[in-house]
Amino acid sequence: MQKHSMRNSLLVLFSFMMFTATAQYSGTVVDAADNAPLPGAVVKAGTKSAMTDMDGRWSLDATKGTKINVSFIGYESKSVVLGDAKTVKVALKYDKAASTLDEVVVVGYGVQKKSNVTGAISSVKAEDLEDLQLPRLETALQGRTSGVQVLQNSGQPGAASVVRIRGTSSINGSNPLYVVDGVVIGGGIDYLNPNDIQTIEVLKDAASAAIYGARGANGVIIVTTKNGSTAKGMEVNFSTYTGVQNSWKQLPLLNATEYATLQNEMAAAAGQPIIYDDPSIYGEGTNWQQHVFNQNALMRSTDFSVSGGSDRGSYFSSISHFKQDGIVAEGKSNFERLSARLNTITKANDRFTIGWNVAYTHNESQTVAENTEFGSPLGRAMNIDPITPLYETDPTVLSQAPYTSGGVLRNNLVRDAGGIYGISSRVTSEVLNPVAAYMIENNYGWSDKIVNNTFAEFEIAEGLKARTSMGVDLAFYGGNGFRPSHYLNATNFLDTNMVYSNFNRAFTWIWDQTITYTKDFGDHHFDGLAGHSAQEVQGRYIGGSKRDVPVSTYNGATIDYARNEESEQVYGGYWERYAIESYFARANYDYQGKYVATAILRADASSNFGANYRWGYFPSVSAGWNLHKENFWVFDNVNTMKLKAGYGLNGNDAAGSLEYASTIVGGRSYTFGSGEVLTNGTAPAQVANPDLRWESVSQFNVGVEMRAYDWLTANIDFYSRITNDMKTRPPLPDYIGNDAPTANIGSMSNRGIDIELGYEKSFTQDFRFAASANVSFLRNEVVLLGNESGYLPGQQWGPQGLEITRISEGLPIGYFYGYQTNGIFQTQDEVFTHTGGENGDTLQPGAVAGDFRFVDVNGDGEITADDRTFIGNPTPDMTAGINIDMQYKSWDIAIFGQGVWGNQIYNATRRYDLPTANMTGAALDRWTGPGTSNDYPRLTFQDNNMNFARSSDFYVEDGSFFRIKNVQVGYNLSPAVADRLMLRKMRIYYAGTNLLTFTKYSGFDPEIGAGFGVDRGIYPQARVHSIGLNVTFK
Amino acid sequence: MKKTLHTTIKSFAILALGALVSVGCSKDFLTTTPVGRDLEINYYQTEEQAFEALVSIYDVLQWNDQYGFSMHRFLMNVASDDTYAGGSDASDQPSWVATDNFTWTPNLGPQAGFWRKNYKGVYRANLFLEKIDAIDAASEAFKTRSKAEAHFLRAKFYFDLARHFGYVPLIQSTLDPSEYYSVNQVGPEVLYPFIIAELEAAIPDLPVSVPGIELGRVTKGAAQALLARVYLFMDDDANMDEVATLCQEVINSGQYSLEPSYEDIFKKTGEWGVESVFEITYSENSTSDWGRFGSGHSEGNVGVQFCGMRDYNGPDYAPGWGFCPVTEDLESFMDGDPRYAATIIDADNLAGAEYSPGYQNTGFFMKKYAPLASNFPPDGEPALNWGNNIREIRYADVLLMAAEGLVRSGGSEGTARSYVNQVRSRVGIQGIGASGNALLEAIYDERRMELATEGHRYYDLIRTGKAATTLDNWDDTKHMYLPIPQNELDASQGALTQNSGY
Repeated sequence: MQKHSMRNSLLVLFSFMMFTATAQYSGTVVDAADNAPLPGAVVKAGTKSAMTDMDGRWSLDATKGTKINVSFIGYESKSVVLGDAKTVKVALKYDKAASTLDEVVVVGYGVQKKSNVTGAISSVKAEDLEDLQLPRLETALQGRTSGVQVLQNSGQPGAASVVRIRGTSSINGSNPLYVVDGVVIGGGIDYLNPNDIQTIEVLKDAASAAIYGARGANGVIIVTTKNGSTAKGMEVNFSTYTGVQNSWKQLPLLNATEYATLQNEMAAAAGQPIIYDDPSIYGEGTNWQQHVFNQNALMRSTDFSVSGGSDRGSYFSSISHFKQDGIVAEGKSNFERLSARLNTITKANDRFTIGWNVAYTHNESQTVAENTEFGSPLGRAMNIDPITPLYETDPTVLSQAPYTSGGVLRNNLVRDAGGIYGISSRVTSEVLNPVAAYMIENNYGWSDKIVNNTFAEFEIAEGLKARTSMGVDLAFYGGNGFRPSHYLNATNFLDTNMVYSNFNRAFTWIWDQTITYTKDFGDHHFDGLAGHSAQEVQGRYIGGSKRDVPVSTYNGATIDYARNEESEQVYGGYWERYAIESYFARANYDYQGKYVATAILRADASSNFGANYRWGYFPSVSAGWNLHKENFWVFDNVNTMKLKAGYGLNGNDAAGSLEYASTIVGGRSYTFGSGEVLTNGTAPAQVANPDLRWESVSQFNVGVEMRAYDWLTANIDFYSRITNDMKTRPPLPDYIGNDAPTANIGSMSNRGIDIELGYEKSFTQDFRFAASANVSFLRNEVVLLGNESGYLPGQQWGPQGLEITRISEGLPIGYFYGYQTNGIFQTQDEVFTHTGGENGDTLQPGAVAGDFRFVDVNGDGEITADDRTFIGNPTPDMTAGINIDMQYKSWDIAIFGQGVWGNQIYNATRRYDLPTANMTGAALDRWTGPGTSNDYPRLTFQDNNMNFARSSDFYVEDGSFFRIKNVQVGYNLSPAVADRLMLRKMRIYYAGTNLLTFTKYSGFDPEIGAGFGVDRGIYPQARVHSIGLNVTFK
Repeated sequence: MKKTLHTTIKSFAILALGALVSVGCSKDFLTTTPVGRDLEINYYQTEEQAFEALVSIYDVLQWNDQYGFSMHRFLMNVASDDTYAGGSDASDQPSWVATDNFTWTPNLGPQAGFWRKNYKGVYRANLFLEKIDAIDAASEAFKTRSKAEAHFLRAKFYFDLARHFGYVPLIQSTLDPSEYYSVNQVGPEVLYPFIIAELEAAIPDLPVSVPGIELGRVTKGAAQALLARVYLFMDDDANMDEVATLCQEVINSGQYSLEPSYEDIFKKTGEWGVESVFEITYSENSTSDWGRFGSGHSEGNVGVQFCGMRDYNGPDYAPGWGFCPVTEDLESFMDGDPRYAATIIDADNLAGAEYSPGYQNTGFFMKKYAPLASNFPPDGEPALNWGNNIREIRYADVLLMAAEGLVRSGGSEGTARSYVNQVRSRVGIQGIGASGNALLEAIYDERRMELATEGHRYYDLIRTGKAATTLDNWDDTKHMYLPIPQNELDASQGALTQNSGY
């Protein structure tokens, strides 16, 4: 009987097996977004499972009707029922929500899970930057994160940007620290090809920046460059774009007739005879702006990268070329960059990883002056009179001075194929024919930079890792120039040409060693880091100039070729070495992922400080509470909610080399002898200050991070930053006879709120919409300067050195300083009723109708220099950026806008000291009689009331602006078509940059980075229309 | 298995090595060695270093750029009735206009520039005198002579401080930080004896003449002439014989004589001519630029640029900025005198030339320091590289001072007249025969004619008590002295008090 059962069971089993015949199924697993194969995906059929290979292929024996489950980290799992088809293709969708929770954030010397981060750190990811046209790293940050203000210095190709994280924290430099792959980049961050960026993390508060100790006071920008994906297999990318740039604004300047009319008016008002008998004969005159702008300037870029990886390691290599012509000064303003990179990570074995990143960049540029009243092309175009022609063709005029001297036409007049450039006989000094002036300029700059970083990481034991990383930054850079013999006007000429050149080398090395330890004790999790770092910076330079080269253009002009031996000037030397050594430690603790705390301590020593204060100590603590993990959390709609708070101390290494010492310097020279021999003299440079030390910034940050409804994210941070020991030079009385030392006396405060909001929703399969906005509110105040007067002089304007900005206690840094106006005297009676002071004195007895009424701010009955006061603030109260991203089927649209509010701009574009300089159309609305104007005074050559020659709120304008900075419309080839072309992905797009600017500012551009709010004839941003192509090969 | 172990050991070894080297950099790692400069604590050891320190005192003499444009002699022209302020318009140089009109306030005027320049010079002289004796490596001869030079220079700086400010701190050594705010102001009764003592100590140790390569260094004659000038400014008849004696020592030294042709004095070829007793030297070879303006590093004479005709286009001259237009008063005073042509440019009547009239234009400009196309600086910013030396003390001035000293001390009027007539006959005008007060007045007129636009007139008017009647707006209760600079009062934390009237 038993035999029978056994046989029956077997029969049943056999028939069961026969009935459910297994077959071999195979297929591929791909990423739904771009069809890329996903190697390492898990396909599970019941108890059996298989992993996809490099090409995403799998094969399994299974029976029909089985449900297979396909999963891959970071993607939504999918189940498919096996049918008749033996080949199954499964496309998995990237699960943003799941991956966001476990996202890692780079926190300096390591990473942390986003849910555990307790500091204020903003991230910008590669996909946010993908498909954008970014000439430099700083533009990647512009408007994308709260608390970071990026203003381009100017629109000149290659121009750097001013980056301020949570306000200006010191009068001695507030640039943040840039760290690229662990290497601190001291200068020349423009070497970095933005297409190589994987992530940018901005450490904004003390709690996170403390890990960088003495250099973290202004915030830290950590850049991680791309590495191959171990999951996606080899990826080959090609992208290119070409754009056309134009000026987006031209100013309404007076034309020749208007100019002549107003000049006559000015003469008449001063009791002088009129200058132009018939203004109308001059017609429109010369449109200088049109001649200075180089419209339709080209911008182009090409980028090629190959990356890939396996479980043994990954690699990323790229090569890129970028070229941009400037919209001002055709042929004299341009920038070109060629860069190459190779990043690799190799897992030598399970415990040992080594990595190596190397990047090389070559830059070349040609520049014109950007923002100066003494010679920027647009500044000159605004000030030169419109009667002077671009080219002087009238032989009668050419036969007289200034073209002719001693009866002969000068041989060094500036000329080209169009003729001899006109010389103004009305406006002088540095207001030259703008085109002629830039035609003779030949300013070339170049640089070669290699940044290399190698690291090795070894897992000593479970959770215990040691890592050492060595970075090197070697840069060669310099400039060359040639000034031909020229005659631009009576005070600007050169009889013999001059060639000059300089060559510099800068070398930095940085070496970090760290040990990290991770341990879980039940619900407790602990992360520790201890490390040591050393860095050294050195540089050297040499340069020279010589005159009389027998060529007339830049090409072929070399110092060796110049003939005037006496004119040879050489200079050279090397920088004093800068070295910094640090020890640092960080501890992270969390309990059940609910309660999180971090503590950091860093000790730094710098060679810039004397032995008394060489070491600085910078601690910080921060804590967070993940409310959504609590049992009592009932708000299902709120996915995550974290409260965090932190406090810490960072340092600012703001001193110069040996600034604490009294050094003897030369150059205190006198001329002796009939041969006029310049004899060197030496004297102490300043009084010593052995107590000179670090500036310190203490910052308190409290914030909320949350995600709700799966589509809303919000981060809000409140912060207060106080800078202490700010280095100032308290003025000593001049009778001491030696310059004052710098001392750590001052303090400054920055307070604000940073808000980041995000919205993302997929409405249908085909339509996805995402928007994010960031808003920052900031209030800056200089608290203490520590000198008797309570202020430091700021910027000056013009040859008379008119004081226009100041740094004072109790006011924001670099505020505008001058007289306050209160309308215009409409009648002579009003002059006499404008009284003040105890005795009711007439405040402006010499004024007449049409002059400005100035406010007697100190109430002493006189309008004097003591009545100058705060008239404007260059720092915005609020900055905001908004991003909109839409995807519909194959189309994608992205819009990015950025704006600032609450700031003013000081319009210093017109040379007030030259009465014959041209003016803007606003002058047509000047006061000409009672009731004609209350804000533009009368025009006269005899400006006794100094309406124009004082710094006053007449020159201060609202600088708020909002700019549609970027619009992109792209079309992605459908996967089917792409497949047939052997491409994984192809995208064609149109991109517009700086399309629209909303502002009340009357100058060329409200974005004034380096000028700190003072416009002296800035080189404006360009409006760009471009088309581009991105291709990813199979 | 073996392979893994091998690799593990290898990797561990690399890391261990790295760790060993890394922990703790050497002590020298954080020390900076100065490059291109010395630390003060290591300096002042050799004669060469001492000489360079001496040169740094001389350097201050030529400064024109402290707190803006503060050229001494040119500003004194503006203060006097020799020239107006000028410029492009009334707001071009407010301090200069204030000097012209005597509307100085503690915040407005040339005082900040004068104060800082002179005290910088005092500091460097003090430092030198403190250090020089301790330098064993320097020879006795060097020490003696250089100390005398330092005393001369310190006396000169204090002379300018005394006559411009009246009540100033007398600082004779470098101050320790604890002493910064406990200085005291002293008045002329202390300052002048100090200045006189300095010069009297210097005179014996100074050389009678210097070789060609050392022109510019102080000579005995320069110290004697300066001391005479100091006594003269004190306006005490008791000192007038000293004035005469000192000047006669210079006259009888045989080192100096009058330049045969008056116009040659101010030419480039006239620099360090026979008539130069002391010049403040400038060079056109230093390629100064605006970046260094304000720090005293410029080696050129920007005053030359200032007094040139604005936007000038024509033969001989180079354009300037139109300051110091010559007054109609001086022009008519000198009309007919042979020295007119070398003193005043009649701009409106220059053949083949044009210029832009500036503020307060009279059509007449300074010729003595006018920018000439033939002297145009070859390199650097032209305005900052004019090489024209300032003729600080001329032999003609010494002759006239001697004459005045003799007359006022009751000495030989005949000798006095002969000195004056030497000056007059140089330019071919008849000698004078006056005596007594008339001779004195004739000397004063001759001084104005001979030294016009050289920056001496203002001092002459003050010391002879004629400033109030000659100069518009000059108030003798207040304008004897400039106001102490406001920023100095603020910085001194109460140690200084303002001059009366301001």
